Amino acid sequence: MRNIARIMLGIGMAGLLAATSLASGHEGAKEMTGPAKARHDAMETVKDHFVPLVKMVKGAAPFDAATVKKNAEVIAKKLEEASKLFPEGSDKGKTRAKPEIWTNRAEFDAIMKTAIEKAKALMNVDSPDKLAPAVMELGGKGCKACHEKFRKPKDEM
Amino acid sequence: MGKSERKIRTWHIVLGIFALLVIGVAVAYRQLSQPLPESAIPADYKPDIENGRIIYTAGGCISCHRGIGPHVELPAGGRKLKIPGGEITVPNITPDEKTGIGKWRAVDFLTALRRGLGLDGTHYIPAFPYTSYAWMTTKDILDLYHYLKTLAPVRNETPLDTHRFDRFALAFWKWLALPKRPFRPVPGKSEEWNRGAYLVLGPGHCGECHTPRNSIFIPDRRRWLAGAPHLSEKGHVPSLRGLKRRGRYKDVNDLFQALKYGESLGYEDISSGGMGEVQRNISKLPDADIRAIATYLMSLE
Ligand code: HEC
Ligand code: HEC
Ligand code: HEC
Repeated sequence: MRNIARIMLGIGMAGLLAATSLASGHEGAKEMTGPAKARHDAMETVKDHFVPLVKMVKGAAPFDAATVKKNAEVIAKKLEEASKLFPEGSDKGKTRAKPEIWTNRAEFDAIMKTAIEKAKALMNVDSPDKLAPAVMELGGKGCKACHEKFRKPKDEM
Repeated sequence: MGKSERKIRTWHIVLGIFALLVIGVAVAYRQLSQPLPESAIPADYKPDIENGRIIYTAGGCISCHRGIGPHVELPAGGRKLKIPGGEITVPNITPDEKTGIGKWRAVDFLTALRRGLGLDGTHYIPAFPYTSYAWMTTKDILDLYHYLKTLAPVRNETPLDTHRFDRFALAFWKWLALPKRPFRPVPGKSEEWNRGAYLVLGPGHCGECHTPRNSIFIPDRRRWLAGAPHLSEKGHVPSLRGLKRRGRYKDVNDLFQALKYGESLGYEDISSGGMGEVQRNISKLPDADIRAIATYLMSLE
């Protein structure tokens, strides 16, 4: 019976998505260290500067060209920084970076480049009606495109 | 009676029981491998292709069946999914006569989605999420079939992988895992709520990732959508319960926007681990359906 149950489990474990193989080495580390910590912090700063722009799009905050320019500039700068924080082998320990970053580096770099370009384009938005499309370009072709392919789900529930 | 005679007799009993077991398993296997009869199709059924397209979108069929190269927009199959102990080829489901489902009758398609059973009695591996699709109404499955028939046929040979023993064992697993009947609206709940519940449970197959599984890999209904370990990547799939209480989303409209626009509107926890693709599919549904999903999810405590 045990064996049958185990076999069933095995069958069931069928990957439900066109997903990639299991990520290696993830054991132990509870805290982020080294490049993982540095890029995580850069990403959090990116997010903190992206969210206020999203609020403007949703009408939850008034449009303000100066804030748009300043925040978009920080986003571009921090993404630029983050792009240098993915050295070979840094998919070990606590991190959400997928090993595909290193097996498919050209695509990763291309998305990063697009994201930085979109952030720079966002800097020049000077009227409210141009804000939504510019924000959505960055969010969709930058953040989402990359996180979809190259970032693992969270560790904790 | 002598000692050796008694031994022989015991042996006969053991063999007898064993033979009965084998016959029992064989009969049960046969029973579990029966396709649905032609009469499963209602006499007054009329195809609604547009509805079929909506179900195709909600079902995310393209996410797995997506073709390669020039056929990426069609469910021409050919990609591989990793499963434990090997890989599995996703088949071609365009209406090509030779390599797709061109020759399938409507009832064959119904049997595949309701029973996880192929033309020659093949038991499908649940990487094809039929345990969710089986909740769909007969009408929706048939509309989906007629929609697929309108797509351009692609010639692409995608024979099912063997996995002979797995497929045998699955006959019995399915008996436990498949719903006994399709979705029925919950009385006392609004039409919108029920539409949302249906899309989440059936075509959307959200439970396949968001619901934890028991020891034989059947989603645990008592912990419906309560979050689960991710099946193919390290990490967790988040809970979809208490989204409001936990402050994940302000209200139905907030979640509606998250489902419709995803990370392009700054919703950051809805991209990784396959969710980005799911969200892209949801975004193509009519607004009323996206809102129904949001209404249902926000009601879960
Ligand atoms: C080219 C790829 C790429 C782009 C573009 C990108 N990210 Fe990331 N992001 C990542 C990766 C990879 C991680 C995981 C890093 C790690 O854990 O080592 C991450 C992590 C994060 C995290 C941390 C989440 C957590 O729980 O640890 C946030 C927040 C984030 N990104 C926000 C953004 C936002 C907002 C944008 C767009 C403005 C963006 N990112 C653009 C690749 C990218
Ligand atoms: C998560 C991935 C996934 C999704 C989503 C998915 N399928 Fe599949 N499908 C598969 C796999 C894998 C197989 C092959 C199963 C096997 O070999 O046992 C399959 C098999 C099939 C078959 C049998 C084909 C044959 O040649 O016997 C049909 C029909 C089918 N899928 C239709 C659909 C439809 C319609 C949808 C959307 C409502 C859908 N699938 C969504 C992965 C998926
Ligand atoms: C292939 C597995 C998979 C399927 C199928 C799936 N999800 Fe998800 N879902 C995830 C993962 C993984 C995340 C976390 C994504 C991240 O961290 O970026 C998630 C996140 C979410 C979130 C955000 C939760 C939060 O706390 O903000 C919502 C809402 C959601 N999913 C709804 C759905 C709905 C509705 C369906 C069905 C139509 C569905 N999911 C189907 C894997 C899946």
